[in-house]
Amino acid sequence: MEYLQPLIGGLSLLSSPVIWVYVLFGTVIGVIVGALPGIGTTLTYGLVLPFTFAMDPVNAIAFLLSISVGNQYGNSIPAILMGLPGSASAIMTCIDGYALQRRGEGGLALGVSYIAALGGQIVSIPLFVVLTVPLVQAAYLFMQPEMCALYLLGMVCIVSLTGKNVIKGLMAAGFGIGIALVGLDPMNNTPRFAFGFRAVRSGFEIVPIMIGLLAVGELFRSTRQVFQWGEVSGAKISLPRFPSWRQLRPTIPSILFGTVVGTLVGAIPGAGGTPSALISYQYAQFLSKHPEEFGHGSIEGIGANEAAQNASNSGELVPTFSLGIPGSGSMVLLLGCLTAHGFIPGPQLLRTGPELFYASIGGMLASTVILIITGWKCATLMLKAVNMNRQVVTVLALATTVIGVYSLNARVFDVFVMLAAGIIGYFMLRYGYSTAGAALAVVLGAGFEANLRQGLNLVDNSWVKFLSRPITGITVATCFVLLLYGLYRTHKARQRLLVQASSEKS
Amino acid sequence: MDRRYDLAIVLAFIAVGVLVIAVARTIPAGLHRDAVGSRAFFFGVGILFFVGGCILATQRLVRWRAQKDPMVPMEGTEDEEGKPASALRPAAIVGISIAYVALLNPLGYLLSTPLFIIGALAVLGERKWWRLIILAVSFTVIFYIIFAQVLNTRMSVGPFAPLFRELGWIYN
Repeated sequence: MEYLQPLIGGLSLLSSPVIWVYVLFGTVIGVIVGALPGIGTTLTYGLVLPFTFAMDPVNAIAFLLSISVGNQYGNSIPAILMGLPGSASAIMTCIDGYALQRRGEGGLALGVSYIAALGGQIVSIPLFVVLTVPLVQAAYLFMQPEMCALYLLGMVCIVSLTGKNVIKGLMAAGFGIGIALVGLDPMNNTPRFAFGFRAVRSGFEIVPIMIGLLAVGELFRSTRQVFQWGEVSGAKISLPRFPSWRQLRPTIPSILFGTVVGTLVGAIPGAGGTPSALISYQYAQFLSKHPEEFGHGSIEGIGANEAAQNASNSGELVPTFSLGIPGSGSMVLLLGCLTAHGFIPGPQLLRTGPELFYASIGGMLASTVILIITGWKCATLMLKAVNMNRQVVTVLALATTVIGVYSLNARVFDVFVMLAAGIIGYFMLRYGYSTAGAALAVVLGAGFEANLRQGLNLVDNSWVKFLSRPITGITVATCFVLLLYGLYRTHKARQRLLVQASSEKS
Repeated sequence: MDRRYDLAIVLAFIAVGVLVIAVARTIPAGLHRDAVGSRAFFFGVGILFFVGGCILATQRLVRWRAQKDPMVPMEGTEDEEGKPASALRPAAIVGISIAYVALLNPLGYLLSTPLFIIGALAVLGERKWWRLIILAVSFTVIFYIIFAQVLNTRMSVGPFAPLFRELGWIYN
């Protein structure tokens, strides 16, 4: 029954017409923005976040998640028809889909992408419930030492977001932690690093910094070049006809496989949509009867890739809601929205606000229903979106972030903080310091310090007692294993790049 | 990417690291003492910046003489291939954004926003002035209505304040 209750709760929310309006808006925004190259879910969240402050939290969550659903579907249409992936997770769809499009089978590629996106989304919702409920039920076991270990787990996941240079990634995380610690000491309430400024005596507002790092930095970076998205794609293209069921049927196993892999990989903090899509694509090729078609127009590849990236939406929510660990930039902003509404991220989040759980399920379900009804026609909208003026979109997006952050507290100071974070974010993006890692550290830093120190206080300042608590010990050990694995994987990737570079030279 | 800028950023990190450690030393210990203390995390961050920065700077300097070209493989987000890029444009956009925010209170949202949009789009090469003006004004008005009237956000309207008060659109 405890597994059915969230689904019933989610469905019952859908009796409200208001939530449908928000979800409809969110899905359409997500679909349109998903089609614009370089504007992913994180940037879209950054732009719409200020609007959510005035919404009811349930509607806000449903609205944000419908954007994710629309976005993951939207990014594959220009990828297939124009060879222009809206985001990194659509790259394999782009390779196979565009190959089919050039052979005159674009309709088949689009049809598979559409069915896979919807299938991945629908099947992943019960999986999300199955993974989240046990973690929520164990929430009462979490006191400060366990919370501290969870925060540490989140910190370790930053290694996955470090990019090409691990040292730079760790320094970016250090920057985020430093920013998070400014303000009152959690034990003594004395101000730290405030330099006499009243505005930062209690610390920085998290939302302007996150929007600055994740959205404004990218917008500043995009002004380096002046061009139109349409120029990259070439000629205008019309929407082909929907394929028959007989053509789609062979992709069903890869869609189901992609859904399961996408949800599970997405649930690993720091993984997200792109690794989910790539891993399921690789395994689908491994299991396929026609592996030679992968990379040259495989509908099974498109099915696995699309299902996985859509299923990762549900997967990403598992650690975010059940443990308070946001695994990606967009989840950081989602938690930022909840923080602005007065919710405290952590294992108690869904115990104190079960309606958020229902809202996430309701939002994703409603968004999927809207995509079932309008998704195929939406593709026409996406083709038009790619022809929007890129410079106008960038400047209006900047203006939206300014008014949005100003609306938080009607303080110009917050907007200056956002711009400063945006400038820092610009340099971080350009020189390989992970902005997502820094943003994640901003969210986790203060909580990690507070829980560590309060947790030690709880066990008479004894590290042995602290680490010998079962959940804390197991979680800390897991952290070390993950850290070592993350470093090993990054080292291997670096070696592979070096070998590739030297072979290209020779 | 240009290794000189990369090195400059690394050196900035080292300087910030030293500053963080120096300032952290002045944080009062407080009445409540615990095993970690008020300064430990800041020391950790400062040391991370300093040591990480030193490693990166050393790596860069060791290879400095071997390679004459200052451009090295990109570690961050690359520009779109085949399209000319300029660092001056983002610098100008940052300048305009700062001016916009600084003018937000004295000029008000309704005057500063169109100026920002027109200025920023002009920097990005848009020259169809009538289209720019219509776009800037319509965006500003629509967003003012959404935020100030629908979402009840308190927004500065600058010189329009007496008029809006008289019309009953604002109350303070």
